[in-house]
Amino acid sequence: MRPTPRYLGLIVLLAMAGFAAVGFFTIRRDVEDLRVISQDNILWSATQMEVELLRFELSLAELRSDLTEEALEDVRERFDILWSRVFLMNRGRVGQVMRGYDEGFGSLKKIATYLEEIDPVLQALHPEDIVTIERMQVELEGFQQELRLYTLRVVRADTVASALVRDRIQSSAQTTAIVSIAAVLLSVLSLFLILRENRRQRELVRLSRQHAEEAELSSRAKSRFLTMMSHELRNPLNGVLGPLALLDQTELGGVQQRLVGQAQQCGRSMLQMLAGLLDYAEMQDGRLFLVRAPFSVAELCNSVREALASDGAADLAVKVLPGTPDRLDGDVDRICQIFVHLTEYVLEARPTENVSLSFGHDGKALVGEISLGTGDATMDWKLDLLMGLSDVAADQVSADALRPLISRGLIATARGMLSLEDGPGGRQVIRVSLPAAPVKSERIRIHLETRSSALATIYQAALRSERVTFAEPEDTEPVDVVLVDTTSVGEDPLMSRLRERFPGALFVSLGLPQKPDIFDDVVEIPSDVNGLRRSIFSRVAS
Amino acid sequence: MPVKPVLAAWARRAAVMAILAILAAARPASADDDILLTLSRGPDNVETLAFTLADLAAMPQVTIRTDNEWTDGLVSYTGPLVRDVLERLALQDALTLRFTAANDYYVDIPSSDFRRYDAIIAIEADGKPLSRRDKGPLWVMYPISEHGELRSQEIYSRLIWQVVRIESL
Repeated sequence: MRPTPRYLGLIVLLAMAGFAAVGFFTIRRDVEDLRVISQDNILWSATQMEVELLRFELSLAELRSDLTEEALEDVRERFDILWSRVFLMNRGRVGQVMRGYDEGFGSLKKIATYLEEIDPVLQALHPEDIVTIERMQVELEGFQQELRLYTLRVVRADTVASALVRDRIQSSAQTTAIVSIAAVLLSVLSLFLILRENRRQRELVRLSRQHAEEAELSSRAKSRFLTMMSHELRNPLNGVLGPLALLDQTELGGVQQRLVGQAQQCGRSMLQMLAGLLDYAEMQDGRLFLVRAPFSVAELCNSVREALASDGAADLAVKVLPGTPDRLDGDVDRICQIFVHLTEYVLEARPTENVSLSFGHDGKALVGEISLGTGDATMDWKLDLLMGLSDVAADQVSADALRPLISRGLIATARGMLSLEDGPGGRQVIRVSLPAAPVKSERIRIHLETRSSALATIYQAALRSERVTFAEPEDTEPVDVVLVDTTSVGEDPLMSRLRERFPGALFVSLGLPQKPDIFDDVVEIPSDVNGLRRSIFSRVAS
Repeated sequence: MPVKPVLAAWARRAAVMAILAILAAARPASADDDILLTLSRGPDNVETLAFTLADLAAMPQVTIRTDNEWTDGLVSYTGPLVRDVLERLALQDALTLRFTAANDYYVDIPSSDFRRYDAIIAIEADGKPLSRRDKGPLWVMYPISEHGELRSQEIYSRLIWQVVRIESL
């Protein structure tokens, strides 16, 4: 189906507007004509003059029979009224029209002149001056005929004007009918075009949706493939790393130990890449969600440092800037992942001593800056790839781009910003800004219920921080958290006793208990110290 | 309140009164002669109230400057408000009023016109008393120039001149 040309719609619109304008102006002209013609009620004025002339004559006849002052006064009043009618022609629009009907005949002028002549006579008239009265009666007879002919002219002109109005109305009605029919035809045409365009648009939407669904299915298939492959690869890789770790614990010579160390590092790197692939697949699939929880910036700094050290970048300077809040709200694992990826990526192009990482806070966001010294200029394309990846099509992603790709994806998911700026001393700074509100720092008091004091010491060492204090075994002061080693004998009586002793505290099981319901939280693998710490802090914060 | 218009109004009123005095002196003294307008109401119009020109001139005067179909350009008409005159015989609540002229022409006007517009019974035009020969002595005048909607044949027919009687219907 071919699309309707836009100019056709414009032509239809213009045509409709033209028809509407013609109809509007035609009707307005006719209405105006009707208004003007209907106002020209000159016929009434003409007949009034005739009537008043007759009344004046009648008053003269009464004066002639009565010969009284009262009758003479009545004559003068009738004269004034007749005067007011005749001299209407001197002023105003009505007067102008009246003069128009008298053009070439002079009837009104004659009677006006006569009234002006007899005005002084009438003022000086004596009631018994019968001669003058009779003379005026005779003279007025002649004006009756003049006024009658004038009225006749007005009637005829009025008839012509009425006929003109009728013709105009008829013409107007015909024009209106034609305009209406044309408007209806154009409306039908427009409706047809709109429906046709609408059908075309719906077809396009259907095709677009179909393509989008196909693309979505394809993308999901790829993501699933990536997920599956990374899982499948991780298992054999763990199978390689495990024996390598065991081999590392055996008596090895210096060369063998170095080789095993290199193999372990490569394996860990590959493991990290596989984890990145998993994240990428989740991002593509829209299944990557952040888990926000309070975290310590110092601990983030340590985590990044440890991760980099395990990958051979132990000498990298990582620091927290003065004035940075101790605790922020965010997904610390993902944040750590972002900075590890970015730092390792740039370390491929710069020596470790030329790179430093610092964390700060601008009031709203955690700001991590990777400062780069001058390095190999030929490797600067890596930075371009890092910053301009959004302009690269997904099918052009190369192996080098995986870390930046994952970093940028995580930054976007966290609604953060990534920028490359010029720093002091010709250094370049990769600046990552991630929204993270400061969290009020609160001290947490923990009671440890373990089967041995050695285990308690291990947990105390693992959880030690400036926020955490540990209650003495026999201390009866309230605590925030009670950590219970599930290997303690007799969970039920123990928990009853502890809850009675520490009402309102958070009870966390260290390891999978027999009855998880009697605990507020369960940390299945207590050897995962970071997980244990996050669990405790997030639960206490919430 | 501006001083000059007040003085002008008093001067006009004084001139009207002087002319009335001259007319009264020149003509035979008669109560009927002075009555220019009669208001009537009730069944068979038994309640009546007569106005002389002096009565009308003694009422609060309003001047409206307007054009109409029978004059050239704008003319200043002065006289009492129609609604003030009607109130003298409590005619303001009548639904319709019939205005009759000296030649027996009449027109029926809804009283709402006088509540909505400051129509007057003009006794002067441009400071001069209206004569019988010039549509006087009493001419109902609407402020047409101030209200565009008044430019209609219906309203022009209500500009009745030489009015002598107002009655309720």
